[in-house]
Amino acid sequence: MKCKKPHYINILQNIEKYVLLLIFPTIRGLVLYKQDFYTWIKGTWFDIIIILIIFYIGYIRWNKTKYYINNQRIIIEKGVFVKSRKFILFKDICSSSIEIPFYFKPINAVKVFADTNAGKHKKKDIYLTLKKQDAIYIMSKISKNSKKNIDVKRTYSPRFFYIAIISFFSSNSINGVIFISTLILQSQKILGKDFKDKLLSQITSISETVLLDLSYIPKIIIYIIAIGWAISFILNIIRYKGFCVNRYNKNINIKSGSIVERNYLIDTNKINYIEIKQSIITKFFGLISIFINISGYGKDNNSSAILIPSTIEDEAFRNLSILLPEFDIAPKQIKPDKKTFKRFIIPPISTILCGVIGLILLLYLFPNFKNSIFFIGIMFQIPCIWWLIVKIISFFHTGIGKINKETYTFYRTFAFGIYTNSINYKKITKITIKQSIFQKSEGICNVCISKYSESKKIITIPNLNTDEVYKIFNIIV
Amino acid sequence: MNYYLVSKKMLIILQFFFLIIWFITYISCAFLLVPDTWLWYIIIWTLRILLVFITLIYLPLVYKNTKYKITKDMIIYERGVFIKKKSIININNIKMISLISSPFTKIFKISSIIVSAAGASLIINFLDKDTAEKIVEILSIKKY
Repeated sequence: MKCKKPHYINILQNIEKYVLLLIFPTIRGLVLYKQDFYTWIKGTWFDIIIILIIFYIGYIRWNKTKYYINNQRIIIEKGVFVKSRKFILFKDICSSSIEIPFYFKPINAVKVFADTNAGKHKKKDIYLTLKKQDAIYIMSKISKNSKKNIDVKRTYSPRFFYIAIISFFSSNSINGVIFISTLILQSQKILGKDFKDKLLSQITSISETVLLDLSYIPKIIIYIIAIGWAISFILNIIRYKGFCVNRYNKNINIKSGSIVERNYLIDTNKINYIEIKQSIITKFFGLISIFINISGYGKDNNSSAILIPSTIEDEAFRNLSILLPEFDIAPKQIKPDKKTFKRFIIPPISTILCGVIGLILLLYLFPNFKNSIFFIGIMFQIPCIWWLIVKIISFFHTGIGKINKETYTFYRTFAFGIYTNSINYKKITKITIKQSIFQKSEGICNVCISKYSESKKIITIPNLNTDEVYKIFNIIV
Repeated sequence: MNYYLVSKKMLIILQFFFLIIWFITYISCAFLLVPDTWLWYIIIWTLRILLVFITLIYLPLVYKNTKYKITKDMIIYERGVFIKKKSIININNIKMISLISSPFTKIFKISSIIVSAAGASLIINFLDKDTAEKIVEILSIKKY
């Protein structure tokens, strides 16, 4: 087997965390304060030596990273002091991907990722930065099918409107807040305290002009949530722009991203299950999103394992049957009895009542903070009422269906989302039937399904008839 | 196939540990609180009632309800008193079976087994050492 090495850019990748923090402050003296070269060297000679040492360490790490390929497997060697050798068979790889950030294009470099069902569930088993042609060669080994043998190629490419909808609903304020706080913190480290202060004062002045009448606390909350969400929305749009799915033979190829191009290759035999996601709003508009669960896809930060972004139900199911005919959606065969309705609505109703009592108490105890307390109280009640609506929908949605003796469909809700999962019986690893003493008297139980995946993934379908559950899973008690 | 109960030593071990914890709590409360006050009576009597309830009713029920069954294609494990749980793992999905021995294994001759599948696991505690070894063997044969 011929030994190969990563792309030279890998030297910089190895040291980017350390060198960025040192190189900008060092150069700043020369550029911003317009020092002459001799004075600059005199002041920063120690920093320059440290930078050179860091570069040398980066080079050594690059030099010690090697990989070997034959028709069956890839061997990756890494490490300077502690050496590791990974042996991975191509047939065990579930998904692989190529990532091309815009700054990699001029130097012909790409990032290659691949993942198996083994290994750490938050990390991909293979991560290499290679020349484009080497990456394509590895992908061709993984895909097993040369392009000549393609039977029928089926393509699905959603409209930009659907991408915007999925970005709208999957945008999370926390991600945006983390992004902006990292930006502010890093700005101080890299560009100095002056820049950070300027940035903060700019942000404060914007918030002052946008929000005028509200009291101090709600103003901060609304400001953080709105900015965080907007940033997350923009990041999502950039991430999913140009999303396109191709199916040929037993492989699925997913392309997405504009600034960073991503190209995923997925073995359909290794897909663990599909998940159809809805929120109350998307349900109202008849939109659904379909996700797949497979090791490696959707593992990156802030990404999800999308197969079909928010689309009208009929269109989504039509595309699903074209792309993944292996996964059918079975109609419900078991659903909760009418008398279990109270079990669905008791938790949200009791939370709403507790909130109201708490609000009255706080208003009575602290009359001076009436406005703030009232605002926080209302803010607390909105998700509770939302939860109640979800729970009412949940009663009508919950259930289990079975099709072709092997594929199960689980209808459930979790937090504020409405989900439908389609799983092959072979991919159900554990079934747990939970029954409290109150449920026993009514002959009902909660079913917890552990699914085949790298990490523990459990779904719960509540308040189903126990005998019917045993029957559908062919469990002889 | 019938359900099998785990080792009777489970009851003895659980009661032994509960009694130690109960005794330490009781002695601490009896000595630290001011005697013959309403708080002292409430805590002492609650502890006494707990002792009777847990040792005579709850722990025997825990033992009675902890059982397992190995069928042709699945392993079923049941436990729980107030909330009953029945876990079922398909033997074909088992990836690894572990036999766990602790310092107690030598003293009490008991072991635990962990049945691991991708994304799920099942732990059966308080099995007689011989039974645990036999189960591991049965599951290994069934799988391979």
